[in-house]
Amino acid sequence: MIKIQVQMFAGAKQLAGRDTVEVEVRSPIQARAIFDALQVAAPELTPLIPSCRLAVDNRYVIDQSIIDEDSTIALIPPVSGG
Amino acid sequence: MSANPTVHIDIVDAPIDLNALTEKVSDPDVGAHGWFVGVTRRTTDDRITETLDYEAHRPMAIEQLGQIARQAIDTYSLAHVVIVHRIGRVPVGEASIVVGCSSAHRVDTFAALPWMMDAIKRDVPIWKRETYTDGQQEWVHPDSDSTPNE
Repeated sequence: MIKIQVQMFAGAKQLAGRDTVEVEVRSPIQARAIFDALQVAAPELTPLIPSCRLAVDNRYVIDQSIIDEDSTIALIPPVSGG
Repeated sequence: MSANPTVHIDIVDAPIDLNALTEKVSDPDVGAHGWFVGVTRRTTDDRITETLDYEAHRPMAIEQLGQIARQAIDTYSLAHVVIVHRIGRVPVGEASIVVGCSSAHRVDTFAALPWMMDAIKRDVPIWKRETYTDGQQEWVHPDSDSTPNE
């Protein structure tokens, strides 16, 4: 298993109560697995996760994407800029 | 279309100086400058906003804003694009976002502004938290934001 840090923002940070959540995933790391692992590591995120996107190195990825373990990974709740 | 389109993107923690930005879309070969200024609104339905705070995933937001600006230049033959978003606390009546662009003819500038705003509201990792006068706080979810802020 590989330990990776997932950055939290806005409502996700508030729910998790921290800036990052560490998750454990198997290699190769698929984006979908990070969502699942987040619900284990921080169950309080569960209601928000279905509406979140995952960003890897500042770009959105789809659930099937394979992620390099050295990447910067962020959980992106629904945005509301402007 | 300008030979050298330019993009100016910024995320700031202080009030946005609109006048200082106007020169960034100036060009002898454009006939239209267009601006959109989104400001904090006091009322949402029957609720009164006490404060509005914005948070950003700053490096990703900068990258996403740049992509949107470059795509707008390609799609609408713009000469120049400026996008500045303010984060932190934005008092009622002050600007949270300024989007400006210029083009040879007005039709492109008119079309590009709403397209850029829609893209920003859909994809740029910036979040808004309302604090209402009744003390309630909430992160604005796009689905719950039935009457957009500006």
